[in-house]
Parts: sequence; structure tokens; C-alpha cells
Amino acid sequence: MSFGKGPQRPGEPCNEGNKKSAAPSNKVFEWVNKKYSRGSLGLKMASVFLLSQMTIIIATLILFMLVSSSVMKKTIRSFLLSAVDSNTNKLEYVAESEYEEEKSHEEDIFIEYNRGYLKIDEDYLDVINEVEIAIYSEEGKMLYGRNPIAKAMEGGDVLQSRIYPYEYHGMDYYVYDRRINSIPGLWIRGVVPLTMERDQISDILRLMAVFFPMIALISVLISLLATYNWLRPIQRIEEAAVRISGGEDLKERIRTGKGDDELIRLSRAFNDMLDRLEASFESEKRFTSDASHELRTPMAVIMAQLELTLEEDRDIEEYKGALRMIERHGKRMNKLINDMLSYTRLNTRKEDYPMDGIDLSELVRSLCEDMKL
Amino acid sequence: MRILFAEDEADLNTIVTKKLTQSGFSVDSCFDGKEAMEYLDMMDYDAVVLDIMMPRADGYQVLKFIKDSGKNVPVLFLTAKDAVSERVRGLDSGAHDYLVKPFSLEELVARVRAMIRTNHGASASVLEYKDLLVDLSAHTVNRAGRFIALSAKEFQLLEYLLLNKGKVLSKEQIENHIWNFDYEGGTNVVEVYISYLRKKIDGDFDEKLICTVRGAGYVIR
Repeated sequence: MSFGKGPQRPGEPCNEGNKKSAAPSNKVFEWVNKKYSRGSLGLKMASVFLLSQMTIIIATLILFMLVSSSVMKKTIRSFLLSAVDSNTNKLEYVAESEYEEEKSHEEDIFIEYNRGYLKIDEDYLDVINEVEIAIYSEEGKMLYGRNPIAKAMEGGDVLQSRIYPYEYHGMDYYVYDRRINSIPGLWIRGVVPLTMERDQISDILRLMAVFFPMIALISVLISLLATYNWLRPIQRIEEAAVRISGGEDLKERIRTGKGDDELIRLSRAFNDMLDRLEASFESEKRFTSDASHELRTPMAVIMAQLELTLEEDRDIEEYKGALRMIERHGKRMNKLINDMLSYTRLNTRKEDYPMDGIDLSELVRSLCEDMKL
Repeated sequence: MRILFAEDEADLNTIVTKKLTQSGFSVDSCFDGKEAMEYLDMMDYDAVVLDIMMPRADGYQVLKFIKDSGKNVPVLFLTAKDAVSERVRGLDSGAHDYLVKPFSLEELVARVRAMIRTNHGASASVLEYKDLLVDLSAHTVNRAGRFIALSAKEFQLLEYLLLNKGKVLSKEQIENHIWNFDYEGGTNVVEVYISYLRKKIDGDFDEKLICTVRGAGYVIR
């Protein structure tokens, strides 16, 4: 995984960052492109965070809208009901004979009806809470009042003694028809548009249209920053590994911040491993240096002896002496080389050699005794 | 010329001492740093060849001893330590030269000679004085074009006088620089060899180069 573009690998094209416009969206895109490469774990993580957040928000929103819509409708229906009901007892049948008397109440309204009059009390309201009330005869003829969709309902639906929905020109309505029991053949009808519900839904949506992008942006930033921060140790580990295998020295260590999460622990473990590696390389360097050093002296003796002896013709005894000396030092070098090999073998293949415990102090003591003699 | 040689590897010590002696030097050999410092206390040397890794006192300690005592003797380090840092350290500490093992004996001899020469201010390996020509590496002596044959000790004596030309050298100094500790001393060997040398160098010529300074010693001037 490559969190950033990281150290350049041969064959990879350089960052084709978007250099076109400085529009904010492009800037963000550039930043994202810089910090993440395709297939980046961080990008995957951030996307998952973002998606789940957005899903939750949207789900909550939808739920809220559904609930609020249903509540709204209930409210509207209860308005409808109460509007119609409250007007029901504001109607009275006045016979022909009583008409003259009743007429004195100037606020009341009188309509001819059924060989008499229908008295509509002054408290009768045409509109209550957006509910428009109309009075109908049994045949479906509107006698008085208001009905926003009267034209549409004309000749069509028969009065039904319940609340029912009605749709007209894309707008939804509730209609409530009710028989006036005290006056035979008379119906009262309430009609209410579901504008309130619609308004409320559109208010919610408008609000979300403003807030949702902000929330989304904040979420994006938070998830990007968080994942970038948490996953940075991975990038550092990768860079350190590349640098070390590139041949640079083993002194490099990975910077770890505070904290104790898995990646920080991993970085620390990595650093420990590098410590061990460095120590082992150092000891190997020292060893080869010491070893070749040790070999130099017998080599110098052999070379010097050869040079000296070959300067002139010598007698047999001189040659023999020289050769013996060379042999001595040759053997010495041989022993050294064997020791070096054993040492390396011991170090690299521990399982080939059975180990025994030994009392070092005792060994040293007995050696000292031997030396004294 | 008298050389102090310190090397703890016995066989190498033997070989190098043999080579140096063959090349016309008087050599005092020892096997550790302390011994070297003791020799240095007793004697003035023309050159010192030191191993670095030695028991009791290492090459650096001996070098420091030499510097502290104000002796102007050139030092050559002979060692297995070949790292550049080591060479730099050696030379910066005051050694005149640094030779890494294994080395060529011939090269060692040449470097020692060069070291002594530069210390005396002479840059070439041929010493000239008036009509006297001494080739230090070829071991030949010429005066006015005529070849003069000298023995090893005579040559060393002439070389010593010529390198220190103009300086009066006492009998003791001459003895110390041309003969090593194996020589018991006590006789007038210096006088004898001076007379040998005079006969060969000044004998047939009008201008006498080798002069006696009564009570002080001898000088070439």
C-alpha cells in the first residue's frame, strides 16, 4: 500500500496532479491525489467512513421526513375533523313560519332550503385552519360555503361519510363529508389541502440542502485527516524500508509519536528490528576487519621472508630456514581462516551445534592456575 | 645511520632487521613499546620504525614519548591497520610516514632513507658537496668523476658526515650513529675509520673535505 506517492519507483509516472484551475474542488482533489494513490488503504478507509456516515444521515433524514409527514397528516386530519364538527351545530332549519322572527338576527345567514330556510349561525366559519367548509345537499349540489376544488368535484364523487384523500392538479387534499343529522338531506363538507405537510417537508429538505453539503464536507475532511494520521506510520515504515534496501545506512529509525495503537507498536517493533540488524552488521564489519587484520601479520612475514630470500642465491640451509618460517606462518593463517569459518557457522546455523552450559568463572580460574605454572 | 626498530612479531622483526642491516643501517631491535622507549632514552637515533599494535606500550605512546622529549627523529609507522582514518591519525600524530603490512622490504628501506634525508634537509638521494658525489641508494661515491670504493661502515660514516655537513660531530655521536649496541666500544674505532675514509676521499685530492676540530670532533666542510 502506498499512502503517499512515496519514493519514486522506476517506471512510475510522476504525479500528474491536476494543475488546471484553482477552484476549491480542484484544490481538494489535488490534495487528495497527492496524499493517496490508487488502491490506498487510507482512501478505502476514508471512503467507508464517509459512506457509512452519509448512509446514516440520509436514513435518519428519510425516517424523520416520513414520521413528520405522518404526524402532519394526522394534524391536518384532526383540523379537518374539528373544523367540520364545530360548524355542524351552527346550522339550523327554520320553517317558513319562523322565518320572519329569525330574520331579525342580522348576522345570521339564511338560505332557502326544503320549503324553509337554512339558518347559518354567525359563528359559522367558512375557513378554519385552512379547512374550507361547504354545505351540500344530498344530491351533491353545493348550497353554501367554499370549496377550493368544487369545480373538480362537481358531478363526480358522491358524498362519503368519512375522511378521504383527493388529488387535483398535482395537489393532495383531504375531504370530510358529514351528514347533518338534525337537518335531513344536508351535508357538510370540509376540504383541506395538504400544503402544510408539503411545506414542512420542503422546509426540511431546504434546510438539509444547506446543511448536508457542509456536513458532508466536514465528514470528508475528518475522515481523510484521521485516516491520514493513523496510517502515517505505514508510510514511514515503507519509506524506511525502501531507504534501507536502497543501501543507505541502517542508522535510520522510524519516528513514532505518542500513543500505543497497533501501528505505533508496529513502528516500534520495526525500530527494534533495525537496532538488531544494525548491531549484527556492525559486529560482522568488525569481525571481518579484525580477521583480515589478523591475517596481515603472518602474510607480511611470508612476503618479507620471500623478498629477502630471493634477493640473491642462498645456500640450502638458508632456503630451508626460510621455507620453515613460511610454513609456520602459513599454518597460522590457515588456523585463523578455519576459526573464522567456524565463527560464522556458529553464528548463522546455531541448530547444527549442540550447546552445553559451562561455568565460565571456573574455566577462567583453572586457566589462571595453568598460567601461573 | 642508526635505526630503532620495534615490532612484536618475532619472525618479522628478524627479517626486517636483517634487511635494514644489509642496506647499510645500524639497527637496534626490540619487541615492545616500553623497551623502545628505554632505547630512545639511552640513544639518539637517525630514524625510528614502529609497529603500532605492540604490548606494554603501543606505537602512539612511543611517538608521544619522542615528541615530548623534543627529539627530532623521524618516525615511520609499520602496521596492519590500513584504514584511511588510521593513516590520517598516524600522520597527524606526528609520524613522518606510514607503511601498511604486508609491505615490500625494498620500499621500507627506500622510505626510511627518504625520511632521514628530508629530516636533514636533503631532498635528493644523491648528496653533493663540492666535487664529491654520493649516491645513497646506489651506494656509490664519486670524487671529481673518479669512482671511489668504500666499505659499508666507511660509506655510513661518509653519509653521516655529509648529511650533517657543516655540523661538528663528536666521536661519541659518530660511534652511536654508525655502530649499534652489539659493538662493545671502548676502542678508537672512530678514529680508525675516519683515517680510512680520509685516505680514500681526501688522499688523492688537494682539498681536504674531512676536517678535525680539536677536542670537538669531525666535520665535513
